[in-house]
Amino acid sequence: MRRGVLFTLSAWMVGAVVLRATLLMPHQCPAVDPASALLGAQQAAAWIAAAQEPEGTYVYEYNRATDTEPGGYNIVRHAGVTMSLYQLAAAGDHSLLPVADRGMQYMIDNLYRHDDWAAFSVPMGNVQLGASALMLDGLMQRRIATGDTRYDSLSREVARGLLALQQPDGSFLNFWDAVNGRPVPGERSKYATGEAFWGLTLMHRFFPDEGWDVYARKTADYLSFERDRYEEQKFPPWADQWAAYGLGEMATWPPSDTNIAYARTLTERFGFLVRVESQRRDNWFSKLLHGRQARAAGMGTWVEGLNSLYTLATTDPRMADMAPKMAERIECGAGMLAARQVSPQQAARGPNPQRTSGAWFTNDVTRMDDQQHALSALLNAAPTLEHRDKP
Amino acid sequence: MTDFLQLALYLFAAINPAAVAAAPPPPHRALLRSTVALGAAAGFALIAIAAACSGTILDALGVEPETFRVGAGVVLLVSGALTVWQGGAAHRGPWDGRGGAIFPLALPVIASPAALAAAISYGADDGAGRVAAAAAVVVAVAGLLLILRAGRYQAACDGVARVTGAALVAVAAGLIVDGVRAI
Repeated sequence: MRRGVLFTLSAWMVGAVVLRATLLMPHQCPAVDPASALLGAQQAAAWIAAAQEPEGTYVYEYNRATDTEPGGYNIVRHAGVTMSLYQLAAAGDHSLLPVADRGMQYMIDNLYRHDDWAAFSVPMGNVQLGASALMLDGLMQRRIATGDTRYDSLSREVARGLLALQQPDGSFLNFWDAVNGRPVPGERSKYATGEAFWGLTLMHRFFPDEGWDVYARKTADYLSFERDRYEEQKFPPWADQWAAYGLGEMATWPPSDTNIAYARTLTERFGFLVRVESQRRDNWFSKLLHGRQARAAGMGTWVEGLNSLYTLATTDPRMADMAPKMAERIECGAGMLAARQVSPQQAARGPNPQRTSGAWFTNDVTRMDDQQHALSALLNAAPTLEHRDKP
Repeated sequence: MTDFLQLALYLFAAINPAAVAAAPPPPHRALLRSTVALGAAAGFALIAIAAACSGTILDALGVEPETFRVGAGVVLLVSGALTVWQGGAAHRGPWDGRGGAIFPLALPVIASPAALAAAISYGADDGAGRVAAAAAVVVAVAGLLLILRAGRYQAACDGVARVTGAALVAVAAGLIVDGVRAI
C-alpha cells in the first residue's frame, strides 16, 4: 500500500509543480501606503516638469541605455500628460500648475476653429478627436483644481467640437477633415470615444443646465452596448479606463442598468489584468510563460480604471458588492507601480538623473505617457488606500 | 436551483460516484461494508480538510481564490476528459483488507485530484461548511453504490461515469471562465 500511495502522491506532485510554475504563480503585491502613492505621483509629475520644453511640449521618449531622446511626438499624449498634471492640482498639489498651464497654452496656440467650435490640432490637416477630448478633460481638471472660470467659454467651444464628430448612436468619428471642413466618415477610435465621453460628463458637472448629459448618456449607451462589437474585440470588454472615468463621474446621475452591467465587466477585466500582472516576474522563465511585464502606461490605465469604478462602487448599490475586491486590486496595482518606479536615489547613480528619476522604464525606454498614467493611477489610488487603512 | 444544490452537483461531477463504483476490479467483489465505510469516511475527511484549509493553502501559495479557480478548472478539465475517454475503469491496487479502504478507495478514488481541487476552490469561495455538507451527500451516494455492488452493471456504470466526466468538463470550463472574468 505504501508504494501505491507514494507513487500516487508523486504523480500528483509533478502535476502540482507544473500548475504552480504556470497558472498558479504567486501574486506579488508590494506594500504601498497613501503617502508613498502620493509621493510616487509627485515624482512622476516632477519628471514631466523636468521634461517640458520652453514652448510647452514635453520630451516624448528617453532611452537610458544610450542616454538619448529618440524624438517623435503625439499630440493626443501631449493633452493626456497635461491633463494628468491638472489632476495632481485637483488633488491639492498646485506646485506644478504653471507647468500644466504651459502645456495648455501650447494647445490654445494650436487651435483649429470651425463655426462655433474649436479643436486642438497640430499640424493643420485632419483634426483628431482624442487630442481635443483630452484637452477638454484637462480644462475640466483645471476647473476642479482652481475654480477659475477663464476657460469656460473655451471649454464649451472644445466640447462643441467633440459633438461635431458625435454620431446619432453616441459613437464618435475619429477625424475631421480640416481642408474640406467635414468629418471623415467611417473611422472611429476605441481610445478617443471614452476620452470624449469623460469630457462630456465633466461638462455636465460644471454646466448642468446646458444638456451635456444627454450627449454623454448616448455615448455611455454606445460604449455599453455597441463599441466592443463594432471594434471587433475578440475578448470584450476593451479595457477602457476613459470610459471608467466617465462612468465614475456619472455615479450620482445615476447610470442606467446597462451602463452598470458594462461597468461590472470593465471592473472584472481591470481586476484580471492586475492579477495576471502580479504573477509576472522580471526573468526569462516568467517572460516565456506569462509574457513581459506591462509598461507603466498600460498598468497605470488599469489602476486608473479601477479607481474610477471604485468611486462608482462606493456610490451605487448595484456595484457595492465589488468594492472590497476592487480596493484589493487597486492596492496591488499601486504597489507594483510604486515598486517599479525609479527613485531619486537610484537615478542619482545613472548618467542622467533628471530623465530617470520618477520614471518607469521598459527595455530601458520611458515615454511621457508612462509617467502620465502612473501619476494618475497612484494619485487616485491614495484615497482608496487611506480608506483601507482605516479600521 | 439553490446554491447548495448547484455546489452538490459540481462536487458530484468531481467525485463521480459511478466511477467510484466501477473502481473495484472485476469480478466486482463485494467490499466489506466496514471497508467501504472506512474508505468513504477517510475520503470525505480528506475532502473536508482540503475545504477547511483552503484559505491557509491559498495564503501559503500566495494565490488569490479567483486565480486558483483557473488552476482548479484545469485539473477538473483534465480529469473530466480522462473519464470521458476511459469511462468507469477499474483501479489497480491492494483492495483487500483495511488498507484498501485508505488506498486506493479513499485516496485517490474518492479524494481524487479533481475532488480535492474542487474542494479547495469551492471552499475558498463558498465556505468549508457548505462544501463539506455537499461532499458528505455525494460520498454517501458513492459508498452506497459500492455496498450495492453497482460495479456489476459495468456498461451502465461506465456510461454514467463518462456522462459525469463530460459534465465535469463543462463545470471545469465554467470555473475557468469564472476565474478569468472575476475581479
